[in-house]
Amino acid sequence: MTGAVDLGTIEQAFRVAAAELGMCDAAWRFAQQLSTAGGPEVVEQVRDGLGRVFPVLDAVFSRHLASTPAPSGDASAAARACAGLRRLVLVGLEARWTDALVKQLEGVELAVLLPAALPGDVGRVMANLPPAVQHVTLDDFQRLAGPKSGLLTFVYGATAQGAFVLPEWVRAQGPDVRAQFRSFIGWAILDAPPDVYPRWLVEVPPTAFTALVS
Amino acid sequence: MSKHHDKHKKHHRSSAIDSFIDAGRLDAALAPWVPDADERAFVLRCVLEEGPSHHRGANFVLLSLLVDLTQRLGVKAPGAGRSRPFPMRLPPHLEEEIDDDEWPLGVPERPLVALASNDERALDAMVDCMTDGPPQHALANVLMLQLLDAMLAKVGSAP
Repeated sequence: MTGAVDLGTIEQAFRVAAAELGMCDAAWRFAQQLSTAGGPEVVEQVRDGLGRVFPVLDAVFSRHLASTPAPSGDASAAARACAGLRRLVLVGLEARWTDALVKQLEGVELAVLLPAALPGDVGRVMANLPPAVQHVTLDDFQRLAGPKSGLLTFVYGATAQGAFVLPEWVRAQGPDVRAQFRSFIGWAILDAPPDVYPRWLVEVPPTAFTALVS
Repeated sequence: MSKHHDKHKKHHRSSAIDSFIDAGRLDAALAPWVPDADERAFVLRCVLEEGPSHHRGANFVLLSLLVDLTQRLGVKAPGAGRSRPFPMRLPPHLEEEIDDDEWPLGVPERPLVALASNDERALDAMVDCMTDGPPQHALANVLMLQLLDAMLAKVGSAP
């Protein structure tokens, strides 16, 4: 990559990728691609230009610049938290983590509730997941409710006071739903909350989860 | 200070209620009634952690006292009588699509049959009363009924 970075084009591309892969997965892929093409200076330039808009990108690019290895998407802790479940609704999508978890949950009925803020092509997103994974919305995800059912969402950093999640999680786990699903699992895929204002995300108390794993 | 204000001062803070609720105290004791540990955690979460704090506190007090009583009577297992399925509270527009829709404990009929004087209509109405309403209410009702059923079976008398 040579010359000035075209932030507008990168932002447009990132929006598409984040919609179809998840903000965190897309950010790691972009960090690696930009680093390969233009080195750490470009990664830093894009982080400074887009980080305030996309706080998860900001967090991931900062980790990349600090030589933190890209996460492998190890799903063993999340799979353990899902032990005994017959049905699981994933609230949100993060491709590498979802793919890893789906492989470990053979026999579990799975569905994904996609985020609305960065809408992607649902057909293309679902085509990238195993055929058995269903697409659900806030209108119908409760058809997977039951005494052996769970909801899982991705956590973009957590402290003792708060965990940062997609707004759909707040809508999905209301007081009615909390007595319809057995498990409410948070899967932390960032080791700390974003440093910049976490737009796109909502802070919830960690106690809202029956299990918070990483 | 008004009388109205004085009345409200009598209510304790939610934190005072949370401080005496101890799910661990009930967990092991209720294992014979809900043997699966994960299902038991789900049931206990619903009765002790969800809903208004005064309900959670009352559920804990009454269940703890009933558990205490079962232990004093040497009751270690649920009553052996017939139980009715206990449906979860699910969205009405999705009920037809959900097949796994029952709580992991049933509604024991025996104590209610005697109370209803074998009147099937009264029995149905009693079961409806025990299982309707917010889940934390209904679940606590059925847990208490389970404990009462086991104790009544032990002492060999009917209400």
